[in-house]
Amino acid sequence: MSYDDRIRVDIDDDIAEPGGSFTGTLSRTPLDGGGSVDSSNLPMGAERSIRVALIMRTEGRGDVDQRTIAEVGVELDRFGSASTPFSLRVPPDGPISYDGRLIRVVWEIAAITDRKLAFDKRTSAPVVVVPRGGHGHYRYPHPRSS
Amino acid sequence: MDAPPNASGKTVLTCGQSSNIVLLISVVMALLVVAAVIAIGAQSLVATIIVFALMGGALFFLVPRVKEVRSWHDPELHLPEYPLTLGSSSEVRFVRRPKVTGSDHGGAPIAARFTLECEERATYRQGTDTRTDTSTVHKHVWTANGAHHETASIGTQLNVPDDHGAPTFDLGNNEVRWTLEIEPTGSSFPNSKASYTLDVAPVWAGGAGQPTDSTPRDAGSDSAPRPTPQDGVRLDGPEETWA
Repeated sequence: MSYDDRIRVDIDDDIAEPGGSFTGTLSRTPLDGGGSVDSSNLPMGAERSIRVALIMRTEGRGDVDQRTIAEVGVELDRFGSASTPFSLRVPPDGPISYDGRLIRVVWEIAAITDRKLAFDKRTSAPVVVVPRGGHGHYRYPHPRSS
Repeated sequence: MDAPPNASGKTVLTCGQSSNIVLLISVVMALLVVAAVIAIGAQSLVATIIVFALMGGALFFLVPRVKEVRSWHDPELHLPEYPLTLGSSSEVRFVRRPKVTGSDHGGAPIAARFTLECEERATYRQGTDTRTDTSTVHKHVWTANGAHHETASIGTQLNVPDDHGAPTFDLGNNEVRWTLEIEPTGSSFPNSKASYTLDVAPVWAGGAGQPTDSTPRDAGSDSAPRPTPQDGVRLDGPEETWA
């Protein structure tokens, strides 16, 4: 039974401002056949819970600075499914997404799956934090605009 | 450096020049006194002459600084709005106030060279060394004129671009820093440089200058256009990584 490719994160808007939020829905389709899961007897590698995290990290010349800014945890029901809206807040003082000479600031939303006796599985998608008041003007990391 | 808003709602930055000069003078004179004691104790005529020559040189350099600290308050930078914002343009004023009032210089012309700079600072470990690379991503130099009455004052327009540099941030290993350096010229007041670290907030002021795509990038290669989802971004299976 595959536990992969069942997780879906829908992000309403992949652009947000400092002080704003990324919102969306995390869903996981139930197991094939709709059978229930015995949580005390999960097979190795089975997914137990899912976290959706807003992560900021740097790329470029310097050592990486990485922070998990916000995180929402979702427990799977006994059918192994989940569907929940989430809201991940961006700090009011940023930093914003930036594409500079030595430094790049990258934001992403990641779905991290906790699996029994196995490495967590992680899937991520880039998002953009634009200067406050710049929504509609910026679509790319600063200093590029639309 | 501090940034208290004053009664008129403006923010005044000071650059702590007095305390820096007093510290410098104290350290230099302490070192020279120790050196003089050692030289005299060693009964070395040459060493004694060298130390006293150094003391003379230090005094030659320091006396004007001492006179400045005694006669003038720290240089001030008056800003109508602070922190600054991307694409903003504001009328700022560089001010030097005398400690002793009552001497009007009749509006003698003075000038200053302003240098606004945005610098990226990337720190990395290489073996046991810690290195910091810097890159100036924006630099603008201009000159402004003013008048010296009792207070020396030079007003100018400070433009923060929205197509170069970034808002101020310091993430530990990666930092963006804005500085404004002011070099005044004029015979009636001290010409020592003043340097201010400015805070640029992650706010877009509406674009005094239109952003362009001219900024060089070599932080990496992935600057392909991003998709523009109208009805949500789906994030699922194929690009998984292992954590």
